[in-house]
Amino acid sequence: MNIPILSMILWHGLIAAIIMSQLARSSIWLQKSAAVIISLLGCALAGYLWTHFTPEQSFQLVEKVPWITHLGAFYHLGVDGISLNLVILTIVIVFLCVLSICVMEAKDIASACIWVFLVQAMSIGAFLALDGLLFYLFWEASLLPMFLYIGLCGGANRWFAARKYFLFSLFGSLFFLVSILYLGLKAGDFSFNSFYQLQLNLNEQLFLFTAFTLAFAIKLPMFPLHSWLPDAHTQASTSGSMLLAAILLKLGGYGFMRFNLPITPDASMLLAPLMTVLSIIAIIYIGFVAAVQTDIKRLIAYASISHMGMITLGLFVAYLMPVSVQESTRMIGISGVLVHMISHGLSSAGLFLCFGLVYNRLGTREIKDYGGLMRVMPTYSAFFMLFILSNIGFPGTAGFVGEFFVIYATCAANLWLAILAVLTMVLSATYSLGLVKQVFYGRVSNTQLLTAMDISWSEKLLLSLLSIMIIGVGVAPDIITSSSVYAIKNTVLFVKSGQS
Amino acid sequence: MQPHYFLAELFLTIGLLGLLLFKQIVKNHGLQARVYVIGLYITAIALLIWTQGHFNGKTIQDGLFVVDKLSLMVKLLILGFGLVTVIFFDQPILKCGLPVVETYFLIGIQTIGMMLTIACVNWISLFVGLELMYLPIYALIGVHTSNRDAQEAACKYIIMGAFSTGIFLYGISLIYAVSGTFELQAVVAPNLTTAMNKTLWVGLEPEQSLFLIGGLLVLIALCFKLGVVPFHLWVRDVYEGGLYAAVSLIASAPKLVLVLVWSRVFFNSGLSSIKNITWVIFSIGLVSMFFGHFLALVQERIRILLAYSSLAHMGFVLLALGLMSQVGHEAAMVYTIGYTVTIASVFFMLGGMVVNGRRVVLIEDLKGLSITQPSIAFLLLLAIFSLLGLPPFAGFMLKVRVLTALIEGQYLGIAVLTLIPTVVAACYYINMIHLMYFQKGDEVNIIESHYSALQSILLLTGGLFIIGVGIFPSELFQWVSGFYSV
Repeated sequence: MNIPILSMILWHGLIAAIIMSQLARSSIWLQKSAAVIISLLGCALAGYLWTHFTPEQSFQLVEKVPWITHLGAFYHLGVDGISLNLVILTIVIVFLCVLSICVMEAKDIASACIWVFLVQAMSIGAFLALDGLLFYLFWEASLLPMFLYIGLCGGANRWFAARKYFLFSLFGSLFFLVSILYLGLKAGDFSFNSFYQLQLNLNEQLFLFTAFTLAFAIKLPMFPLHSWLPDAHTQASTSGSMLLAAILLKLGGYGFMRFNLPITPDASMLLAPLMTVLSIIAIIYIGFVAAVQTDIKRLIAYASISHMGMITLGLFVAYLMPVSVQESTRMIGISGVLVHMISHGLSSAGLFLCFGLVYNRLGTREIKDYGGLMRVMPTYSAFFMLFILSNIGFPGTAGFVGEFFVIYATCAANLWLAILAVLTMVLSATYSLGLVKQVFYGRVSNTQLLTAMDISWSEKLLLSLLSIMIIGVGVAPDIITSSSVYAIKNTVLFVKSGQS
Repeated sequence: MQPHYFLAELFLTIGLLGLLLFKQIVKNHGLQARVYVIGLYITAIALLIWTQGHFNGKTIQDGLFVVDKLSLMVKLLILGFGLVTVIFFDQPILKCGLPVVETYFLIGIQTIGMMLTIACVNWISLFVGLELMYLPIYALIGVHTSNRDAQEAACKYIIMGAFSTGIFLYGISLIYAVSGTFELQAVVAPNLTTAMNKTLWVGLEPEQSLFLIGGLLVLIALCFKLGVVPFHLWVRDVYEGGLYAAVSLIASAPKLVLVLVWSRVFFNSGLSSIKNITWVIFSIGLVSMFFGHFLALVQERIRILLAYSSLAHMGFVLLALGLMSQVGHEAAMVYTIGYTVTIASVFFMLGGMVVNGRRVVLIEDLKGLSITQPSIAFLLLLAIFSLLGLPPFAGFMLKVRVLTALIEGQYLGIAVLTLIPTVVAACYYINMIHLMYFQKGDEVNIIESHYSALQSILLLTGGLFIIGVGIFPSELFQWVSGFYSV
């Protein structure tokens, strides 16, 4: 029997959002149980997808139905190793978001879950689409639920943050639209495969590369287009920040892998030094910026940007490698990018979730208002420490694997670059441990802290789920790399075609 | 030409004359007149569908009018819009005490004018049709006699309209002087090959320059009617002064007619051979887009905002029209259909709202709409996202259609340029969403809505159209291109 599993997993979020919108007036208990059950159903679908996935194939479980015949666009879905991992990350993070909403919020659970499920549907759509126009549709549509979520459920300055997020993203994606239409007209249809087979001259490639990069660099975000992210994170609610950091930023990295590398290989080759330099600036400069933040959420946001620098570095440093470098080394670099995307998704979600728990109790984001939290909330502190360690890239946690792979590949390209890239570990240790010191150690300076209760059982459950995943990926990164070998190999081939 | 191709128009005309007698025959004629007019429209639609069924697809032309698939399709849309307008004129007639029979009569005459204009292939019939279509609008803007703004708007509009008519006529006469015919398709530009290659149109023969000036004057008159820069000055005042329902008569259906007229005048006729006319149209379109969106950004009054945004949207349509190709005209028509439905539903929604006992004037009046009127707020949200051109709403797919046409015509740079003002547009559109949705607690306006059941169903249909076309645009594209194919 052939179940359209990709469509099911894609429309799951949308149907869930519709169901939740009908439950807005019902009892809290019903809202909570419905949300949890629906997102568990999503996890079951993701499990089904995982078991039916064959790592040795490229795009599989393909569904193709005519959509806009006039333009040659199809409803064309498919999954490969890269998108599989990101889809599963999305489902898992959405499940955690729903749980965190159920644990932390006392009312309006359904209305918050609507936006979470819509973000899930749109980003999964973007991850699964094999048709350029379909990809763009979901890519751009993912903007709306997040914009409304920040605007409706955010902090005091939410309008400013939501507007900034919206305008930045919109600006980036418009040129992306033109380039997709250009490619579609040139290729005759919008499928990725026809895009990949196009022979484009350098000028065309440069135009397309710029348009793609503008879109993805804003979404990722890359230095110098990053300034919307700290504002969006500070104003978004906890689950909003989790979605933003764990899923929506990954759309940018995914875009780079699907569009820039395969479609514009020559332009990527030409501009790889520039991209690498921007990545290094992101890693180092933004690392320093993170170190001077006084607001915890801003600090985590800047840490995210700095980590995203590793992703672009891993992708574009592949072009700087001598042609003689072995394929296995190249593959380590690209799979490092994928692992880093997943691990950053988990650890940043963990950090935002942890912070959300304490923000719920104390209502302040300022670092100086905290101190000595370890004495008051010991279990909580242990979990927070684990996420911080993963964020630093401590061996044994998920964060280590990705960064190690990327730095390993950078070494193969250029030792000096690798030395600069390694600074990320030092810098993130500086700001992360600085945060830990100020928030958890020392004396309790703020008397309000003494009233805070340590985390409850439900909260412990939530955090343990995340911790298990972080340690799991850290100990056995094979889960990700083995499923994506074939897709990574393809990406490496695209890089090589740019180099030759 | 056999008259049965114009059955719907003839029936509507006779029916409207009957309406004039109504006042004398029936006392308390409000409800009856309404039912009568709605019946007229429905019968006319039925007749038109009958005509369509008996039309074999071959274009019939007699020098004044034409019957083809396209005109029959647009006529159907126009009748549909007329019917919807009549239904939404309930509130203004009740609230502002408008004269019932006269108002319906004017709306009907405008519909007939539009239907005639659609079928024109002759400068004279085109002129008559356009006048028939615009004179009732002048009156309808000013029909709210107790409102000074409306009077002012009507006055300004009629003066500006008269100017543009004069310009149009003068252009026609110059073209006639050169080509010696009133038929649109028969207009042949003099000595095309030699003279038109001269750059900057310097050193032309007298008749060539007469033709050029004539063509430009016609272009200017049509741009005036569309309301694009630099012929847009009436738009703001008229949108601001008239009743919502009356303004929707300018903002929606006439744009469809004008796009069709534009195709008839500038496509495959002598005028399209004027050198660089594409670039003239492109520059008008682009300037309108920038100008419209930037000016809308700083507005505080919602109708002025919509006026300037209509400027920008019409500029976008002009870009498609400027392509001078069938793909371009098709794209322009599709875009205009979608835009018309969206903007009409926005106007009708706003027209039915009452804020603190008065109608919606400022954008601020929408504050907290999502709390007081959640369903209307949601429909308005859809319409705004659609106007902004975001997926998965109709506006996005229509924008894609026009952009594809531009890129196909090798105008990639123009396509990129059109996107910059869109970001500006986003600023003011999402500001409306901010006011509607992101307010909390006490900062909310008390907004009442007065829609009859029928009106609510129509508004809902508009919302479904926006989502439906946004997700499955193929049907609309196919439908429209079916009428363009010969």
